[in-house]
Amino acid sequence: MKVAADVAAEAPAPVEVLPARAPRAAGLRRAAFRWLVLAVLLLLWEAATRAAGSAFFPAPSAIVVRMREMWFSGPPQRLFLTDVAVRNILPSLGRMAAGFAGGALAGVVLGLAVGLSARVYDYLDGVLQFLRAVPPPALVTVFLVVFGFGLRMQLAFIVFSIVWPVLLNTADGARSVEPLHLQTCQVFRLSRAERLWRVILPSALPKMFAGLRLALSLSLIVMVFSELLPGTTNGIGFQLTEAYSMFDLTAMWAGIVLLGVLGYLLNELFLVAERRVLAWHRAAQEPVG
Amino acid sequence: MRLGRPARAAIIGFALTLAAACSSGGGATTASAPPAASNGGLEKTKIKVATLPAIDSAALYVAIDQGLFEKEGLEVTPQVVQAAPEAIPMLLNGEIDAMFGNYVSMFQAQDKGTLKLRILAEGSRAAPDSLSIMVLPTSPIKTPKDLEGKTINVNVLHNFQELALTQVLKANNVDPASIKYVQVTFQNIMPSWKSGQIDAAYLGEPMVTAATSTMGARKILDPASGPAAEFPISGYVSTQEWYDKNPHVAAAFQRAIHNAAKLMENNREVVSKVLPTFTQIDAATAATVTFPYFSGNDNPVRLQRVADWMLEAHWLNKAIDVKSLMSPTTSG
Amino acid sequence: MSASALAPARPAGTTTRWSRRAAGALAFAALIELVSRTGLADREFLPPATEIAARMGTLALDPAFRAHALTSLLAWAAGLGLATAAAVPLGLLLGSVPVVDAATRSVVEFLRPIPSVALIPLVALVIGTGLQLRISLVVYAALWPILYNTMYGLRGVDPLAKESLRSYGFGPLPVLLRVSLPSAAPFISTGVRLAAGVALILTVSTEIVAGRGEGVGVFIYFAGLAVPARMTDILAGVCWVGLFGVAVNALLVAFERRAFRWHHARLEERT
Repeated sequence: MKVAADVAAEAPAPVEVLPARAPRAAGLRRAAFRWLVLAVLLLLWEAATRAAGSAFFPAPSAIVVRMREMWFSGPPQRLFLTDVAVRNILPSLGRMAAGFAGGALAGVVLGLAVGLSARVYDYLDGVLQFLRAVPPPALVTVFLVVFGFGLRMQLAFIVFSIVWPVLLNTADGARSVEPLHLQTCQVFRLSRAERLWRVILPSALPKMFAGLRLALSLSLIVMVFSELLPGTTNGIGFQLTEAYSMFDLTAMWAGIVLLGVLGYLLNELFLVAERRVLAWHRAAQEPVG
Repeated sequence: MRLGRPARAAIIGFALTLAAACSSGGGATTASAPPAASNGGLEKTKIKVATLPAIDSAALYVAIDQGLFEKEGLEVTPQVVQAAPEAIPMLLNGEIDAMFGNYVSMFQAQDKGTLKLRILAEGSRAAPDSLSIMVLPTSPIKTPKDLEGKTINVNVLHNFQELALTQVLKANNVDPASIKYVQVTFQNIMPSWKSGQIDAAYLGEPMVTAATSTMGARKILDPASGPAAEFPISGYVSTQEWYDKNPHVAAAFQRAIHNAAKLMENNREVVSKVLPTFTQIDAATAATVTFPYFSGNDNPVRLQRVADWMLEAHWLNKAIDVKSLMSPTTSG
Repeated sequence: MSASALAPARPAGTTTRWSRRAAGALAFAALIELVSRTGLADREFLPPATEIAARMGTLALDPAFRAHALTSLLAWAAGLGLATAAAVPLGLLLGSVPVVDAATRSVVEFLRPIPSVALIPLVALVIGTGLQLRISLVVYAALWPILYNTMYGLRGVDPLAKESLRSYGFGPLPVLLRVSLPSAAPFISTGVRLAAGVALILTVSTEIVAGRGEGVGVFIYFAGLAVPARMTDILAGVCWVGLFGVAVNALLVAFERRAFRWHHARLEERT
């Protein structure tokens, strides 16, 4: 449990305390409760927007109708996706996935490099902290000059924005390996690679995951930002801003709601993946710790 | 359960309550003075108007600088915004009385029911050479026909730039549908162009002058020529509700803007003088750039053309009768 | 995410560490200088580091820029303060009353991924476009790290301590204030530090996208409107923001170390 506590201190995203499996009935009851609350809130929202009658705040029912019209009224063989959905939602998800993968990989590799050597850490600490504090929208021109329009620039932008939590968390994780474990490695004369693979990586894993989870939720937000960059021609973010510039506010809300739903689903997916990996990790750690 | 309402409106409202509780700066209230009998029945004397940091907004600044508002008993405070869509919420919540916006955005807002529009006074119309489709000296593009299938930047998609160019391309026997438009923010036009991200650049002033003099760029087409000559770009608008409450202010405002435009017609200096105060154009450049036309009167016929083209491009759901949104010209 | 929150594995002397950091920063600056001077990147759009540094110096003396900086600082501090004031009690509520947590969890998870940029027109309509627009967007973004860290700080509270206090007849609120809050404090403080970084980026970004009046972001926006764009001004402004971020982070780390020495001692003991 100490690991979970440690991680939470560093990660804004919650790390579910790995539970002994809750009794099924209780779980169901909780889920039912959640959905009930959600339904009540939706009704309230509907009532409030209808009462207000503002063009800027369309009723949720109108938003859902528009979402269906715009994205989900396609042919069944295409999972009901419309052309607009295929042209915008899929590229967005692709960009996000690629950006996340790139950022995660770069973050883990750099984080391990930085975390394993106190010297490298000292040299890079200042620069990394600085880059992390820089507002990316101010650097658009620099990105444009270095990467050019379109996908490359968008991906670079996403990677640059999400790499920090992964990098810094991985570095921290790698630095806080229990000295006892490292001594054991020396005793058994493990090679560098073996030490990295068997000891350092597993013990850095929980922190790494905390960073990854943060990066995942960030990547959705940054993906939207990346679609405001010069030269963008599709994407959820693109549709959203285009809708606003043409004052189609229901379409804009449709984009907002879609982002909320996507973020929710992503988070749930990540939790499942994390639970699996960390359970394996805990099982693997047991004989050692 | 304070966070318990799903409407983001609630979250915003929540933030609002907190922000209002602690922020001392910034106010959403519109300064208004009691109607003074001495001011010819003006409903209010102090008004705020959103403007753009671009040459097109100049008439308002000239009217302030030359005391034309003062003569009408008005005190006008300009508020520079980045783009017209940004000012609409300000107009709706009463932070500003009127705004300077491009007609395409304004008509879209009217069409979507976001805004009940009232045009207070016409603003600017495109003059020859104030807009230009340009290419770098080394570009293979020589004639308008060569633009087919090429990538061109616009500030915002589906806006007046596209609308005017479409007509001009048609007149030049170029298929407008073959052009790829990409949205590029002002600051990034030059780097995108130089690095070959766009094939031809859609420039306005002062960029046309800068690109011609420092980069030797070639002009391929004037988007404000032929059918789009003197294309109306932007005007001063308010909401219908505001207009109904302040008819005298609206008339006084219109007179001052029209008088400023007449003054600017053959007097470059009054314009050059104010440009450095609200744009990033320095005095030297201000003396050489091409100005748009500033409208000294209102003309529903030329404005109707914009709405008709928009309908033709399916940017509007239904036709707009522009005349019904305009006020009679009261200036001499 | 605090790179320097924990003591290094093999501690080098403080002087060595600082000189290494400085060397790293210098190397980074030299890299930019090189890329720019050799023409690898167009100098017009990526000026050499020396020019940026020189401009940073003159900006610091420029009263207009200082006014911009002060406004941004104010928006940042107000946003962060409000976010903390809202998120800590909320986190305590959600973290200690499971029913409320269960009821709101989906809503919270649904709201979090919505980018603040999408909310700008809506916020502008409801509360206006002045400083309050920036502040509320900053609050929205800075809320999450603090909220989550508070909730998770509460999970780590020693149940035994709570139990014993309860057995002395203390009600839930005193237990919360006497045991849970102090024990969650290091987590909350880390959350605030993370939020401080997010808030800074958000403040300047909002100013760039929708700012008017004053602010470093507004300064950056207008520098970009010039023909040709004043890239040196833009990057000098950005560098000031970055340096400020580094300083705030370092200060908060130092504060955490001092204020929660017991907490870090406990962590180290266990590792």
